[in-house]
Amino acid sequence: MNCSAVKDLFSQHADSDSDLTKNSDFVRHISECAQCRSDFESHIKLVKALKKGFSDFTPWPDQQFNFKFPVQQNKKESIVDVISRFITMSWKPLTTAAFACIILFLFYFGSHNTPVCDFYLKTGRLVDIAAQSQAHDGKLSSRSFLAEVESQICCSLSDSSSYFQSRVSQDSLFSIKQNEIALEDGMLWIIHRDIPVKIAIPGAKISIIGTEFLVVTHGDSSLIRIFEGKVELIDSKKITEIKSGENYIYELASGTFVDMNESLQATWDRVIKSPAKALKALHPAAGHQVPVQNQQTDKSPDSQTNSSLEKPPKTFAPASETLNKDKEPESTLENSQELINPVEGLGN
Amino acid sequence: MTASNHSSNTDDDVVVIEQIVQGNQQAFTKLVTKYHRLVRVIIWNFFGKSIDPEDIMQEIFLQAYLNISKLKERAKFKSWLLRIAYNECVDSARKNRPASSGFSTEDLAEKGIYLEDVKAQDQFSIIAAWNLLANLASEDRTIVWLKYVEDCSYSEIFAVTGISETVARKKASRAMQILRERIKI
Repeated sequence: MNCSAVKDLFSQHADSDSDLTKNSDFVRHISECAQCRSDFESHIKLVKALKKGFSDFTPWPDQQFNFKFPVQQNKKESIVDVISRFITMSWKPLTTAAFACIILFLFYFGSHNTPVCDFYLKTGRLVDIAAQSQAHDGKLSSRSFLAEVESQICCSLSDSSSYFQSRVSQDSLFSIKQNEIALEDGMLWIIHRDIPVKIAIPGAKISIIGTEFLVVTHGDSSLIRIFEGKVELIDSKKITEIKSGENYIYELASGTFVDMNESLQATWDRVIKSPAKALKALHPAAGHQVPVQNQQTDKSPDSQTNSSLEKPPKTFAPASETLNKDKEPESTLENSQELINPVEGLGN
Repeated sequence: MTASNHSSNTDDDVVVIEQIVQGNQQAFTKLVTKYHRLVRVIIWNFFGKSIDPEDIMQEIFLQAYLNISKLKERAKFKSWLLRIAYNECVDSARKNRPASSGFSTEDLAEKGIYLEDVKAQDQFSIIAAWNLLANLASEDRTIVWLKYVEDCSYSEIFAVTGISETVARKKASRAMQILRERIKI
């Protein structure tokens, strides 16, 4: 081994995967060649000095760095983002102005054409909380309601071009606002088509397009489960996309999601069978207190019978026919009460 | 760094990454706190004090944050993050800035007294060494730093810089030889 080859081996010094002291050729040469021995000692000194001098060195020590989280997460680039990107490029001002005019034009006409949705009670019984009276069939005004029995609510546009249907479980508390259902407590099952309706839960709103999903809310916790399609959950901090098959409890306090390993059908069955017990178990770790109202009004056989819902109008396209077959109840019932498949009556 | 420490550190990273993927996004700040010094070092090796590191650090950690769910080998987060930092510096140097020497005696004056201690103990001028390093390409400087200051293996250096182990060895060997000759330890 010549001096040049030995010097090349210096770079292996301090390697975890090679030990120069076990390289007999290297050791022999170092012991015989005074120049290489001196160079190797210098190399070791230099390595030690570099390590000692700079291992704790932090560049720009006076500048604190605080990472800024992006506002939106898991969200595909919107048309606004695309246009913003184009504008920031070196386009001529005239082109930018033309874009701005088009956007203003679209915004002006778009805002005037935002459809208004009318909500109707289709089946079941709702109590108008403010009026302390039973809500009649027909249009539901912007008020708060308590579902005395499992009920069906529909929403349609003025031109009847599209609509959605939903079921609310017995004892659900919710309010109707313009283009919005705010679920305060209980369970809501949505089969939805292209209609600008949002579902509000404590601390967040769910923006939905052409999907079918289930929302259960109790206290500050909400369970969101998607049958198909996807929804966007919008809170004050971010927009989160939840896709089909994902199963979350959304915690208002922490603004985070906790995965919940339970099928949608099992959740529905559990809540229908015993709302108080099911809602209490919604967040096992927290052990929520169950409202008195729920504890006293577990589903009775009578209300089970009454809750059979009507077939939807012909214009309604079911989210999935196969859903009825695929989503057989997973839980076995201990009593003889027949549970209602929530999709039944909404589909077909 | 011992093998057990390294394993423990990577285990910690794996746990934190799992929390982030599960939705606890704030857990990412733990990784920022843990690795911001190393990211600064990579940037400093490219640009020295000539830049404000805030924007480029935000960009590096943002890329890591947005792509962390795609990281398959979570135990190798450190190398993955430094690779993002290295690539970002290469891109930034190419687009915005001429290659910077990175180092100057002014930079090193921050270490002042401590460097003098090192000098006294090791009988050579480390300031002279780094002045010499200033003449190296940022790539070579990064290799020397990762290898001899951060104790990275050549396989880790490859993971960060994309420079093969053989080439990295040659570069490190050549740089150290130049240093030895120049400072005459």
